[in-house]
Amino acid sequence: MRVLTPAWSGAKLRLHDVAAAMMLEWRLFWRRRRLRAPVVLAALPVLLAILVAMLKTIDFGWLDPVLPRGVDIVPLFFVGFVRVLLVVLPLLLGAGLVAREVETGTLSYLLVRPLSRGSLLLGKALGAWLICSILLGVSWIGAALLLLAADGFDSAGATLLQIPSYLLTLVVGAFAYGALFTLVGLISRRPGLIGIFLAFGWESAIPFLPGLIRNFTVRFHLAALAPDTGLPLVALGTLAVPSIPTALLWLSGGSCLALAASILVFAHRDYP
Amino acid sequence: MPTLEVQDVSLWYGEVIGLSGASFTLEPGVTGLLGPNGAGKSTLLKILTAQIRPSRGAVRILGTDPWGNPDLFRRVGYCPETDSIYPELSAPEFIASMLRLSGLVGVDASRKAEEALERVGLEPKLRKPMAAFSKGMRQRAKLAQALALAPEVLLLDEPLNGMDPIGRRETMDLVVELGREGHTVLVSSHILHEVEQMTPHILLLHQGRVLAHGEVHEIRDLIEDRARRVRLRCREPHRLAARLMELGAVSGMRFTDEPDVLVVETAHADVFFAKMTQLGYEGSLGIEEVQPLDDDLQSVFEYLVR
Repeated sequence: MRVLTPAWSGAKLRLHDVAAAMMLEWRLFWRRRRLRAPVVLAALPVLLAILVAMLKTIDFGWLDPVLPRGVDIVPLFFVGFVRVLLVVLPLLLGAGLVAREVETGTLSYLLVRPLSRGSLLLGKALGAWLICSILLGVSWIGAALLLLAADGFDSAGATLLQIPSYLLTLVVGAFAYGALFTLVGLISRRPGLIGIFLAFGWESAIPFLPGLIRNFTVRFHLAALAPDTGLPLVALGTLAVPSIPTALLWLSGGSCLALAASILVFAHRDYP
Repeated sequence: MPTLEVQDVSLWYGEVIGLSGASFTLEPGVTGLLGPNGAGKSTLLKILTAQIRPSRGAVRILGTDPWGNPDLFRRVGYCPETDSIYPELSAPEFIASMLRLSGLVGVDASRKAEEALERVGLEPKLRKPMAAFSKGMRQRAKLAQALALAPEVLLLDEPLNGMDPIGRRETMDLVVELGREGHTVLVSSHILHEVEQMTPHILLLHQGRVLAHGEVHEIRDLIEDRARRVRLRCREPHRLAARLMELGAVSGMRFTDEPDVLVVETAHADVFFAKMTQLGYEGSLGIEEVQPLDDDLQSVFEYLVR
């Protein structure tokens, strides 16, 4: 087997083991009834888009010209995605990666397998990221296409071309938030509370502060990947976003650091 | 060479002692890990399976420290005490998933899972989710995941809990069979007579300490400071009582409701049994039965922990 990292105690990574752990997380997600919450959350924007499309089919008379066009609603929807779904889904999936197994008593089975704790955690984190990306992606594409279709794809060319960059933003964002919340889930007894603070406090406030500190948020860097991430100062032109390579470097570096720290914490922790 | 070695292992949870200076070695065969609730049985098994690191001491299984050496778990199987399963998975899916984490792929994992289920008496193709299982069936599924890789060392934490009498009997037979096959099996329980039916070899834990380790009767023999009770059946119990007093072989005795039975206490079992043999040869007392009452596990346990 190929060894990816130096042999830290319990943190050795093997590709096969990581893949096996990832598949287990994938399989369990689609079976766990109580994990349907992320699926329901991801379905909400699609339902909202259906509602908007239905409203557009009704003749409101003089109100009709006031209703915004699909191409104008799509960016607003994306802001909603970035501000809510992109943080809530990784929080639900990432923070509970180990906590769920501890709570249900099934961690014992996983720890007594011939795979390192590092491979186990990395595989589960990657599995959760995959699930998260699929939920976000399907939800986003579904909602965007429904909104555009409601206007018969009128003037939708530019928006359609932007969909891949929106998708990339969601996938990269899910990885970054997932890694962050995995670490939070391991080091905190109240990961939900800290996750909510990070997601809706730190992430919302810090990008508006001057100086280097704003680099330690995810959303500031996501603004470089897609134009409509809900940072009003970007829209006003008073906040310079980083270049795409710089943003990707910060996001990937930060995510890898968070995952490495999670692995080290998990590999050295007792589970009585 | 022992398959399992525990040297001076202690574990503290803050000021609470989980395990205190435990030392023992195990060789192939079945060993019963006995002790009341809170004795440290599960803690010991979690240390052996590298879920907890001991505060002090060393553990070696098949010559390897389990902590940080996950490859060892190809050769070690573990059945946890908690009634924890993945309720959404069927038993074959559960075991195959665990086998995939152990390096098996595709058909191999499924085949081994079915073999393991068959061995514990569960239907190998059963597709219903384990949420619909009875406790006994869940116990069997847990046991199957521990057995699936045919490990050399098996650590079973209360595997009989929640099983019906037939399930218990079958599982006990399976444990005995595994021991005969040359596996090293450490099986914990707080139900003494069940352990006694699986093995005479016990490891007794109490308040985190290893109180005794060895064969039940050997342990009993070591308790020299305690009087040993023996039940005697004979035609003339009163005459036998008088003879025994005369010979100075007993420290106490009592007659029971049964007219031909006498229960005696002796502090020197070897001397007593020698005298009994002598009286038996004399023949006039009609001794029909000599039955030590303290060789069973319950008595040993009570002697040691009280």
